[in-house]
Amino acid sequence: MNPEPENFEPLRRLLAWKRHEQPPPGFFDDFSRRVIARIQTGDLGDEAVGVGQWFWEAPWFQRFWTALERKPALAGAFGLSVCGLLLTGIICSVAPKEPGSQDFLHGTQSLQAIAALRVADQAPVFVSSTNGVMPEPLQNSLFEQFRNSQVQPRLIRVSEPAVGQ
Amino acid sequence: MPADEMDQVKRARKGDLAAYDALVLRYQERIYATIYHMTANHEDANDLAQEAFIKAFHALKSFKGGSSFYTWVYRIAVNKTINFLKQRKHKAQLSLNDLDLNAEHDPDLVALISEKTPRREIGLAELQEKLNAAMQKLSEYHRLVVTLHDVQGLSHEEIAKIMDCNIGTVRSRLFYARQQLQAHLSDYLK
Repeated sequence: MNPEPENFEPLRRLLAWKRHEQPPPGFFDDFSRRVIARIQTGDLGDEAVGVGQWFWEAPWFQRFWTALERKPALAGAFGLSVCGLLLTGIICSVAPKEPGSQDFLHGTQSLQAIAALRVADQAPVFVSSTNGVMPEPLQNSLFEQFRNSQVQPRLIRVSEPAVGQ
Repeated sequence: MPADEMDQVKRARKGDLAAYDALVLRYQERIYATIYHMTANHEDANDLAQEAFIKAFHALKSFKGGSSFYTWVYRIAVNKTINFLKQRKHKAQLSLNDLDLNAEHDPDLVALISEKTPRREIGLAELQEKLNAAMQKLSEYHRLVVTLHDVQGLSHEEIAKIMDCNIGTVRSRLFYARQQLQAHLSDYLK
């Protein structure tokens, strides 16, 4: 690219004319005083803004954003890959469990299992299975079973010692 | 960096606000003007210029002196302005400053209007608005290069330091920006 053949002289003269645009009279008289006053009051300027601003101003994010703006193909590829990841995540989350894999049965401590049991407890009529194997109806939630086991009194029979033995 | 400026930076780094006041006084007009030409809005330029100087004060400890204070504070102001412009992208509103008394008698402009411009009846205010509107159509980086070079009069080298890029990039951006502006202002530049 050779800038020489273009004649930008009239444009440059027009742009230089912008130097005549001046702020209101007296604007700079107390500008520095206002800056110093804000510093003295502990004003951190944009340092006090939230995580969003910090993220936006992060150099790596700036470079990445600039690259996306300049290269539409890159932006498209990035968008596609994000959509792909999202779709993969959705598919994985709703995919039927193989009959052999009973990981959630082992994981009674896992949050997934607890959540599933809670749902089953609240609306047992609508519980369905996507793998064609109907789950066994759940009688009670884990918590209720635990509560019942605590509430039910236990009879302890203590045999009385035989008198006279 | 001039010796007195170096001294002011050292003192300001230790919390001497009088020294920092002197630094602000030295660069306030140039920093404000750059931001104003980028935003075409006086209120925004005022806020951003103040925040740039406040941020620079708090960041002085990280200033190693590898570049001049002038380049360093310019970079802070420019980055802040570009971030601001990216966020407000769709709600730009012009709030132009008045022209000073010399504008009407600027020989360059008088010659430009009387000899080249087909619409000689154009008023200065209208020309100012058209020029600023054309500037706003450029991307932030192209507008910045034009502002720093053609309005502020900085060299390619200084701009490359401020924008943290190489001189070739500055030249190509300047060329492209001028082409764009020439197209937008073709009615006024024939």
